[in-house]
Amino acid sequence: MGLLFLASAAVALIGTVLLITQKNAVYALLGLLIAFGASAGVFLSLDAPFIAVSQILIYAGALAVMFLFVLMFTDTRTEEDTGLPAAVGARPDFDPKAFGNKKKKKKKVDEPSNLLAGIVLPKPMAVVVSLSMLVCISFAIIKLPVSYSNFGELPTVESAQVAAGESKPNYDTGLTYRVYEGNSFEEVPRHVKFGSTEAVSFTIFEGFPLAFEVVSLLIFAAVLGAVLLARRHLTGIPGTQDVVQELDKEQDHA
Amino acid sequence: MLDPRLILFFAAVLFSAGVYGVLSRRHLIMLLMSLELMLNAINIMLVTFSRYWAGRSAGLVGAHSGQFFTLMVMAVAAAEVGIGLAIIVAIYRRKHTADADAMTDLKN
Amino acid sequence: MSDLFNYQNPAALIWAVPLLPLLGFLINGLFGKRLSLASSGGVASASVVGSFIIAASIFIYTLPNHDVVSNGYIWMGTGGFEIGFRLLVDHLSGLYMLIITGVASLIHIYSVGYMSHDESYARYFAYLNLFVFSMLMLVLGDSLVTLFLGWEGVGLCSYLLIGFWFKDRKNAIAGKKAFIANRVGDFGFMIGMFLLFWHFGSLSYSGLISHAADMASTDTTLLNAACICLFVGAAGKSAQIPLYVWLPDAMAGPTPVSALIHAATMVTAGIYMVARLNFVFVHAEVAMELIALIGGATALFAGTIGLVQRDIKKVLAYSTVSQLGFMFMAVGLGAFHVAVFHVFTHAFFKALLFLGSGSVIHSLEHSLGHGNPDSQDMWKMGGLKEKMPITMATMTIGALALSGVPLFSGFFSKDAILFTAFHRGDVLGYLIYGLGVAAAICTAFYSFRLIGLTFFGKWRGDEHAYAHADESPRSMTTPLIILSLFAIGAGYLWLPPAFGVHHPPFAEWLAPTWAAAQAALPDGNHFKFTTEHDVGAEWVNIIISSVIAVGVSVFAFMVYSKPEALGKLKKLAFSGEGDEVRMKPLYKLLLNKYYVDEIYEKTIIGPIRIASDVLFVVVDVIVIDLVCVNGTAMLVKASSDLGRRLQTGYVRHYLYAFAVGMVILSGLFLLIANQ
Repeated sequence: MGLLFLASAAVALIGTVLLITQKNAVYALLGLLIAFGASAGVFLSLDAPFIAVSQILIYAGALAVMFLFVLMFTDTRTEEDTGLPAAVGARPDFDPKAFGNKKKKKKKVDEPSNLLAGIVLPKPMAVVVSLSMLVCISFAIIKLPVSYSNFGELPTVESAQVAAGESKPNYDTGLTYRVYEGNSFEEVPRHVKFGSTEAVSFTIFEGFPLAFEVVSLLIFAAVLGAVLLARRHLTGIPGTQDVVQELDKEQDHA
Repeated sequence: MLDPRLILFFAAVLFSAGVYGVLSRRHLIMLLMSLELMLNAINIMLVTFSRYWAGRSAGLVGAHSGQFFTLMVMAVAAAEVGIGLAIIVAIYRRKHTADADAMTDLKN
Repeated sequence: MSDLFNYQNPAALIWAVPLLPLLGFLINGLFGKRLSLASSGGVASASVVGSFIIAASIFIYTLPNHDVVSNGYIWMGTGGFEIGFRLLVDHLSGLYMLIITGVASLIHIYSVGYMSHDESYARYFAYLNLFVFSMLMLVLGDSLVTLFLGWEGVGLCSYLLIGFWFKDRKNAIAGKKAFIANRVGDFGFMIGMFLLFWHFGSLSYSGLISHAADMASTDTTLLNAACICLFVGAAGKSAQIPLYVWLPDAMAGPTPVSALIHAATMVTAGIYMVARLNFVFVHAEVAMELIALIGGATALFAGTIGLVQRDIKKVLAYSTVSQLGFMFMAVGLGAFHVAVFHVFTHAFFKALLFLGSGSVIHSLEHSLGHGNPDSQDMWKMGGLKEKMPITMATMTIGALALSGVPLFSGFFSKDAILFTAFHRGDVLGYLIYGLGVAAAICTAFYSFRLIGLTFFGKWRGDEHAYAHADESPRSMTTPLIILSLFAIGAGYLWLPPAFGVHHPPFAEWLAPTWAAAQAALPDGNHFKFTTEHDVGAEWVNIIISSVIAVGVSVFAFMVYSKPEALGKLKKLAFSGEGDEVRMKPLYKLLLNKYYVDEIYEKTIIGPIRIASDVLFVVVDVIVIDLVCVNGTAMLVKASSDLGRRLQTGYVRHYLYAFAVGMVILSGLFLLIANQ
């Protein structure tokens, strides 16, 4: 347990450092991926296998791929390698168009070739703010009650179905299932283990069904919104409005 | 036995790193990535608390509610990334850059 | 709820009485321009006639058995204080309801003919319907607040209708004058209301009447103050000294409006209010004496002015003020039922006289043109009896009733008032009686001066106009005839005891209204009604008033029906002939209405104007405009110029602000939570 956590945490921290220091966005994404994967290890160490698997599926799988796609759509070199000063310190005469042109003229010259070469120098203001936030949260953690010094044992229920050597179930769901036993069905109480898929799904549908449904609506809306925002010029469809075109028109008028 | 506060501290470090990333990076996608890191840190905290309460006889739903919230956060994060990336694509088409510092339309 | 007001609740129909005119108002007000003339007037008249029919059926079938409190809702409710929005129909308000809807029905029908040439036909009927609604709310509401709602509503309608022909500046000013004079009164009324509420904790009649028994032991200073304040309101609405000045000017409105609002209904709202609160007023002796004196003074004062007016409507206007003075005399003497009786008879004969004068004016305006002052100048009339026989006959009946000639309705009501004063038997009573008799002399004189000048003698105006003068259409003469029947007959509801009638139906009908007050009064009080009557004294009184009424009427008629022939007598009369008038000082004083308007102008309006000029410059221009309004705007602009610089447009800066703010807040929270 402890070992798994320590190892995962170490890896996650490495990934995090990679994320926040790498100039190249693809490398940074790699760091994020590492951090997410290692977080899955942390979840496993916390007896949450279902969450761990979901973490890998959703974050490391879907989100990372999506990020990668969008990175391919956009110019990843727009970071500090363009040599422009940072926003902190004010650039009142900044012109995005000129900025764009300048960038185009500048050819790929200093693409970092390895991880160590493309490190962004730390920004003092950001360091100060994030460190003070860390101090705040740490302070809150330190002030937690003494009971937070250990996790405690998971509960157990006595069950005849548990074979010798198998880990014992933690919860009685109050439900039963039927087992064909010889010539008749037998009602067997349903016991689940902490963090198992069964236990989490029981929590979702017994505890928070409405929240679950609302979130499904939210995701549906997000899908529609994403399609609407990202599509190319689709004109002439009644009742639709092309945001990008509208914005372009507006810019032309201005 | 593991100390919950250690895990919480680890999550806090991840969170602060995410804050640092949001504050220091200029590429919109990097901003979004750092944001995801912050959400991930929160998830770790939630699962930690879930495990903590499981050890304090909180009942099935009570002990798992932290994990349930984690799932919710994941869902919301997925939605947020989907929309966020779509916005970035739209902005990129318009401005031909994804630099956050180029987006100064809100000025004055 | 006291026992008195604990009725069964049968008539949801009651709401239809005020709501029908409101419906008419909405139809005419919203869609008036799309309606034809006939449908516009038809809708308005139908709504009021319908309202009258319902009112009459309630009056005939329900009221004799029990009073009606309608369903309603709580209008305002805060804690223990509650004002309901309900209608209360008892014998007093039922009678008023019947008078209002009845007279209003006739006047609506009359208006169909009278206003037929007006461009704002629908607007006129909308206002008129709104007035009827407000007036009904005034009398039917079950609390002083609902009464006040109607009170303000009729004030508004009065203002709108006086200034109906607002294109003429003088009409608009007349409307404004009415409004302002009423506002002064309303202020007093509100103070009175607050005083009552402060002391009794209720504004509904049922709530107040439950205190009727212990009013006798209440602090009389407070009661007097409240009653005087309420009377100030009544003086504003019912045109008593010193707030009467608006009523004569109110004749700027269309004549049917003068008949309905400024003669028959609205101006008697003050009487209604005092009669309604009789159980309060009877305990405020000082206030009552003041009311009686002001009523008597107003009656004589306005009567003398009426003697010399040339404008036919002005005569009637001052006559109305004078008659209202009579009513307040009765009220002040504690004879509320007599006052209401005079309201009742006066509503018919004064509406009749106004409508008759409207008929004359309408006929003359045909050739003279609308708004021509000659169409109202009695000295430019004469001999119209040939042309307008129905108008002449009905108006003469009205004048007979107004003068108090025996056997006409005005005789009975006025005689009852005078006898009440006479019967009181103290100095105040005789003083009031003297004022009343003097005013009655004036009344008889100007009534027959009007009849004589208008209908008899030779035509003195434009020949062309005389040639074209003609009897008014049916829709106008029919109401005249109906009203003249009432002007004769209404008085027979209360024959004096001297005629052997000891239980007159009218007094019996109204008796429950004063029951609570009478029960609370100790024996020997001035306001205690006694059943015993001194028949001998009454006969003396009857004979005196009959002789005065008949004698003065005949004299005035003789003088003015042939002003050409009776040259010498004419010089004795207060007024001269036409424009070559010999301005005797008294005559001049009367013609200029005792210069009251000028005095008000100098002493009240002038200083107010100067003060408002000062306030305008100092408070409005400098303090409000410069400092408050522009100063605030400049402050906002300056601070936003500063704040604008914070908006750099860089997302990062906002993020920094957000993160730093979060650190500070969470840090503070942790510090506080861990102390």
